[in-house]
Amino acid sequence: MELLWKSGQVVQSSQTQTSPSNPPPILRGSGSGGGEGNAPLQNLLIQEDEMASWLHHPLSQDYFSSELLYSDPATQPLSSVSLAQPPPPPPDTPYRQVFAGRRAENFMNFLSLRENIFTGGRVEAGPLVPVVRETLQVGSSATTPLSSATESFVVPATEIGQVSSTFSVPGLGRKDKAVAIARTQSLEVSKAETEPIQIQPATETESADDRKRKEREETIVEIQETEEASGSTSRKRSRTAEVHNLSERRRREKINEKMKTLQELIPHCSKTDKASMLDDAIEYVKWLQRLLQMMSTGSGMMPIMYPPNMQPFMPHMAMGMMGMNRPPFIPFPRTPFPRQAHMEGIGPSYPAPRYYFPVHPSRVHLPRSQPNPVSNQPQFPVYLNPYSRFSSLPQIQRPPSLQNQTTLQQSFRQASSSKEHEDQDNQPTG
Amino acid sequence: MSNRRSRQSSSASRISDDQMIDLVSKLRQLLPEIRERRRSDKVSASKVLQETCNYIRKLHREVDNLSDRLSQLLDSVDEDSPEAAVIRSLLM
Repeated sequence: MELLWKSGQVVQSSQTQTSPSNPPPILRGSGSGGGEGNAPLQNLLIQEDEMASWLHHPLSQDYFSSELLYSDPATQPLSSVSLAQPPPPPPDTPYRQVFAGRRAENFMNFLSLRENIFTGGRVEAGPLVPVVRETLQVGSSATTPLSSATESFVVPATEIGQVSSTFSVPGLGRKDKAVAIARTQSLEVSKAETEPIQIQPATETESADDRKRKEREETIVEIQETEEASGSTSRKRSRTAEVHNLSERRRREKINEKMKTLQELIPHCSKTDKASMLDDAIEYVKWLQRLLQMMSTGSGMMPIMYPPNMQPFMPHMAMGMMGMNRPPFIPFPRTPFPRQAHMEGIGPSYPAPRYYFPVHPSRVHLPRSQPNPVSNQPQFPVYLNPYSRFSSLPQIQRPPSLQNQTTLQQSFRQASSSKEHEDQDNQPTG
Repeated sequence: MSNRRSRQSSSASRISDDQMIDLVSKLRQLLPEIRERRRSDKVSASKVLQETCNYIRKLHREVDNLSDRLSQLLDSVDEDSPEAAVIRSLLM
């Protein structure tokens, strides 16, 4: 029989109790068979009660009730059945998943609470939440992902530890509690990780459930130990490992953050795989460099089509392409200006306009299309005219327009001289 | 990037360490700032990613600037001139 404290009420969980003395709404199923099964629940609740009293946040009560409601259908059948009988398999599986889900929810709430309270709270808390949510969904679908879901709990646990460690002002008491929570969570997780194989095939049996309950009991005891003083080497070892985990998680979270930012920057990036996303990023940067170089000097190769999915722009570009196709390469060797390179580049490069569209519409500023949204269309056929005129070359040699072009080139060069230099360096390597 | 750390967090990253190293090195080649850094083998992935984001934003700004200039130039040039065609081709 263990005494479990539940938000001001001491509830005795006794294995001999067959009927769940309907406990206070805060803690349900603490009686009878649900006692040990509720140990993890109570474990969390203990921590959360401490957190609640400390945070003075209504949200804590919310997830208390939500958590308990969540656990109710799972624990009630457990508690209603006498301990002498093994609990029916169905509640086991959902219970575990439910438990896993609750853990994720709790951590999410923890994180949101911390964000609320610690203004300017760690950024990791933010992106952490969707991570937890994702893993939560995964975990709820099958027992196999449970291990991964529990692993994800280490992340919020370590995050909590991190957050608490960074904000030492709130007081060491909370820090200890948070660290203890993190430690116990990680301990539980580590134990859960070590026994996922055993648990999963044994989900249907009582032994796995008992094993898990014993884990919870142990962790409860460990909580008390850790809160008092940690002298055992196992504590220290796990703490060191946890520190490593913490730093590693933090580093990973930073990297994930930046990957997300990068993903937002890259247009038409629908890939969730990190490797392919980085590949896309590399290609995009190369393409931007080439594009800028082309725009500024008119020299350089035309960038290859960047995003493969061009359907929305195809009809638009088809007109342009047709316009461009007509005079593929009117020879302009006589024009000494870089504009020459423009024309030559443009000839083989009618993909170029295509590349541009996917980039710019995805961005906010569209200087070209916005000022002349309507005139873009009629401008395409205009291409035909100047190109047809090129067959009679003299017009190209108009001095004033040439001067304009020259100034354009010069201004571009001045603006991006350094970058061009780098681009030219890049070109052979890119 | 120790293997031990990557093993521990491999489930979270879902990407092999070698892949990450390879891509990060590629990105580093592209980024002009990092390329000139000393101790180039120690640049963290996080820093590289940060620099990449900054660089992409910078490139975006430059492209926008150039587009602005080109559109201004386009307005200043006759509609049917060959220069206009050139500029339009650059813009679009």
